[in-house]
Amino acid sequence: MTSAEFLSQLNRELTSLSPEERANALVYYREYLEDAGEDAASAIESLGSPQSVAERIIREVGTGKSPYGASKTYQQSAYQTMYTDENAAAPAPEKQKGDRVGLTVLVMILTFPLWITVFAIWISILATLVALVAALAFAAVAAPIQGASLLADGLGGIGIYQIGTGIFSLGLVLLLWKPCLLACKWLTIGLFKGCKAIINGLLGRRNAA
Amino acid sequence: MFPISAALLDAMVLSLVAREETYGYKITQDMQTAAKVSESTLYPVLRRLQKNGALVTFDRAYMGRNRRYYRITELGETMLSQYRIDWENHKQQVDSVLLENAAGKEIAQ
Repeated sequence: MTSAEFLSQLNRELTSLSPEERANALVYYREYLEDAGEDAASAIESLGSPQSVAERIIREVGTGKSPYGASKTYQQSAYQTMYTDENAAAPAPEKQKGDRVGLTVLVMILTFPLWITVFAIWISILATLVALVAALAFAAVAAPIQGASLLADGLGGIGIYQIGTGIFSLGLVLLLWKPCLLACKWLTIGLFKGCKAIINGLLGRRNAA
Repeated sequence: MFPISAALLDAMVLSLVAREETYGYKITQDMQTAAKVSESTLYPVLRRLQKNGALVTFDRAYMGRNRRYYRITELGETMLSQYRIDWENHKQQVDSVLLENAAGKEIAQ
């Protein structure tokens, strides 16, 4: 295969890229083969077929994403964080973005029975926890008032019992409000993270490879 | 024998460009002396580093034609220093298992 043949085949294989990306890749490989000079034939051989060269470009450049977002060894480094942020800021090709939103909506509709159940369970647990604390708080206020009025009516035994109930409820409120709040918080965060992971999983994100 | 990870490839390319302003074919050749990486891996790496702002390109005439050169940016230098630290740590971790005996002494080679 001559340089000219290689370049024209490569050009055909790169039609899915934006014109800018396509031109950039072609300039690179044209100059690459010019620099190879007399060794152009062996350079073409070691590059592989124009198809495989194009696939590589499309896979790693066409998406605008890093192919190793999941790199284990380097994930902890400060650089990796910076790098990931850079990638997130890079605008994705318009077409792909549209596809992705469409797909997300489709997935949401198809999985409606699933997530509405999860959502209902989440709401019930949150409501239960809030109601528990609210009921105890109400008892902590109401029981001593009733107890005091019973005392005033001369029903000492029951009155003291009611005041005791009030103090007991107050203790429970003080003990439970914080754990309940934390439970609500973690449940909500967990739910959002779970949903995100499921949607990404269903869409099969390309950069997970 | 030991594969070059994508991160290591980025680091090596940054290091080559940091040495001198250089171009695609030369970078590919220089890489071949250190690692058996496929020739077609270099363009996507260079393009990505350029898009991330680690490298910039500029054109220069050479033998009556154009040649696109790469130059490292300040961001690229920062990334390269971090890569060098990461690599040093990685190397030491591997060496502590591979190159040391029970007493923690380096095995003579």
